[in-house]
Amino acid sequence: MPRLDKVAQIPKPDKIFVFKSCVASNKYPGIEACSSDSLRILGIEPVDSDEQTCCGGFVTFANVAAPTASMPAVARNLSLAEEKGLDTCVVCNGCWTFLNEFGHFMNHNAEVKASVNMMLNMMGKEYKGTGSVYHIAEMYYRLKEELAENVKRPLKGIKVATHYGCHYLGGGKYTAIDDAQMPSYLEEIIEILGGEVVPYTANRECCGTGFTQVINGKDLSLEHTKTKLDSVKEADPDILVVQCPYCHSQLDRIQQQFNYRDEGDFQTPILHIAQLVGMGLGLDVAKLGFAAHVSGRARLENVLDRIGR
Amino acid sequence: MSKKTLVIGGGIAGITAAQKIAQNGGDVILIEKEDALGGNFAKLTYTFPVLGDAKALVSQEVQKVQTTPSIEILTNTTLTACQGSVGDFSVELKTLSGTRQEIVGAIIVAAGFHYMEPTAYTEYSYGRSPKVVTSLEFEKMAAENRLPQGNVRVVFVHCVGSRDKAKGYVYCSKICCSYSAKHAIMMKKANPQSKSYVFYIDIRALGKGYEEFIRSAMEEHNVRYIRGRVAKVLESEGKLLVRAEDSLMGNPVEVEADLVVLASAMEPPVGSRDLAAMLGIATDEYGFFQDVESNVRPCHSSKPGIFLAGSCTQPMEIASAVAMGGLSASEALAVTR
Amino acid sequence: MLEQVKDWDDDFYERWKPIAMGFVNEAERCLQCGKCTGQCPAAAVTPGYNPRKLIRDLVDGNIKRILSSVELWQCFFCSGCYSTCPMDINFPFFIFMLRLGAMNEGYGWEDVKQLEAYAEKDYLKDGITVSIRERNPFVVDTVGDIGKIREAAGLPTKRVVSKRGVAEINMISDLSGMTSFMKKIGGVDLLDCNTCDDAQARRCKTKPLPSKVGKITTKTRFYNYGEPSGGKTNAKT
Repeated sequence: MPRLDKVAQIPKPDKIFVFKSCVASNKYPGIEACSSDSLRILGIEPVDSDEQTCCGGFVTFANVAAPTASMPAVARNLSLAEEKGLDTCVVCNGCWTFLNEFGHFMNHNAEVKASVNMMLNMMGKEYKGTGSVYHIAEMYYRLKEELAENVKRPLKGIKVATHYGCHYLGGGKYTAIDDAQMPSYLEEIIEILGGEVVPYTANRECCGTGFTQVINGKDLSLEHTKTKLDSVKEADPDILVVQCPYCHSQLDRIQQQFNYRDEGDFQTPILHIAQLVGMGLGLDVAKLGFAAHVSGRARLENVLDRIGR
Repeated sequence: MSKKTLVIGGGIAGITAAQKIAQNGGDVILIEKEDALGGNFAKLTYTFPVLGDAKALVSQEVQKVQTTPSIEILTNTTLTACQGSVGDFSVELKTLSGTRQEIVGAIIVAAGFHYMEPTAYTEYSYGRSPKVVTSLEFEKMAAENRLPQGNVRVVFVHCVGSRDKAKGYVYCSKICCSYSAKHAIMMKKANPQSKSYVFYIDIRALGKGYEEFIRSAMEEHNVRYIRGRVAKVLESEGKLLVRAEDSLMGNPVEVEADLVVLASAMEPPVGSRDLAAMLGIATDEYGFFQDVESNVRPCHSSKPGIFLAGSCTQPMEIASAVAMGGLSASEALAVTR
Repeated sequence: MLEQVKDWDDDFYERWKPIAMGFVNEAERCLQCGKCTGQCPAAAVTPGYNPRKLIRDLVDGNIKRILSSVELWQCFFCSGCYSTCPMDINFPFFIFMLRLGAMNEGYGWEDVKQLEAYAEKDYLKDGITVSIRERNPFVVDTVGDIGKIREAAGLPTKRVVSKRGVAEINMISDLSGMTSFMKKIGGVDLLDCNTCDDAQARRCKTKPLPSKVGKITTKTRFYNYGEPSGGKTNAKT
């Protein structure tokens, strides 16, 4: 069950700084397009900056960057929103947990913060620690009344399964808006959009990227992804909705790899929550960016046929 | 100075205290917030380490207090106010028919314990799957002959809420190891075809005959003991998938189970801090009533004339609760005569 | 095999805590209950990975075994252990810091080399770690040009991080020692499917999946810390 006290603390600002994700921009542009457009429809003006870089989480937890390198990088990105007096909205679990964890760490370690600011001052920037970081799924849940009012393309009869992703619920066990083991806010959003929720056994299992394992421990990564996909296939949803572009990429692309190598027949379309909301809010089909999806393309077309283009 | 003693709580500790005071010539008012005496003991089917008939044992003790003229029993009654000091406490009792005032010389707090509701343990699917039950619910199922039949696997999970800083209590609830062994044996007896698995962290069998009792579960009843705290219980096609590590082998294991029994922690009775504030006595960090000295004066509360008995002080088995009931009775007699 | 307790570094963990900047607190609280390993996706698919044992070794001070183990590099970073830990031990941070320690001793370079390229060629060059370059030939066949899809979705053809942004993260990298560290480790070349030739595309497409997929059996699972390649040689450089 969502922690309603936490949800109530999320503001409904006029503007929010939208922090872009690498995977969303370069692999699944529909997520980037839908996140800004959906927020605008729900009454929040997205603010962008071309100075924002990748959050740096990947290079950090790939152990290429030590904390001494990643702290200033995090602080730099957060300061871009602070300069504008805004909170940050992210679309990726990785960005969320990384910016949150390291931001929190700096806020509670004055020495680290001071040394980070020494570096930022050289670029004319400063990290104060005044802004908060929210996941776009949290924002949607906070804005559920607005969401309900604006549904233009109800997902009637569409079976949707959820995958929350580890770095939001697991890594944020005290900061996320829902219980780490039995979450339900995505399900609520799906119901608001008119969809039908499908449960499956491996819901809370990792997608299997294993962070860097998909690159240098592929046997481990694929083994795990297969158990996840098998369980999804059993429940047979029309759409599997995720809230992390990295999970999105793994679940979407690995299905195709298994299919090509005769390791199974997986045809489940994976959608980011921003795309699902964009679909429900009636965004133009081109905005949803389905052309970038590799698995379940036929089924996705069928879904669009059923709910209207 | 009043010669009466007020006993708060009609569980086994309170019943014993009342009996002992009466046997030695004292007068007792025994109050119980529920409508029958017996407390948590009365909710059990069997005792351990000897499988005795719990219901028969407790009703025998209840009958003794009910037939003693110097014990006045007030069920559905709670304490609402308390003033005064040792020898002269003025208390207000709320009964079904209204409030009444009493003057008593001593008070024995035997408020019992509460089985923690493991609602926070969402990883165990508690509250989502009807096949995941607490130990207390298992006792009820056993009493009503509702234990699963046929070729089934039953998993018993230790330390749900105990030894858990994140979601429960840091302390060990002391009796869960033993009562889970009892449940596993009960399961085997009710359904010899069933297979039982107990997941434990450490086996704490601190009592006469306890170690032998738990060994008998393993050796005579073929209950499988696996060292490792259960990590997850997932629902899959009408079955439950229990995931844990067999930490003696260092290997993750999965059990496809038909019933999962959570040995939930013993926690302080509901409202213990309010009751303590009303009486003016101290509680510990968890809300158990605090003794002044745990070795030689375990039943003395922080206020003279108010004594403690049973599992409202710490997780405790029946035998200790009975012993503590007797001890608090003698302390109460010492100040009321 | 008999281990000599005198070989363990008794107070390693105590000494290490302040160096690790508070990222690795509270390991001594570990109950060894195994809840972490029970839910661990990596433990479920490897013969030897076991977060509980890594904590045990760390608190005991058997640090040499941890740093030289292949298991250290098998963590999925899923935080499932942290989310269920009854003592709130944030184990992924331990892995992160221990890996830094292992690299200091020359271990794990082979793994990090694979990843260094993403930092060098994408993150520090474009400001975006996951680049527009595609490394999966099947995806190129299905999806085609991402730039066109971005245009159709009403976005600029390419997401560009400003020159100032890229310069600033490079400055951070230089000042914090990340750049020199990357030079020391070295990286591998990354392929780009959009520019590679047909022969390479064929090789990629016919490359079989790792043989273990779907075939892992439980009989080989024991405490089996292995020795990764390159440790001692790298440490000398």
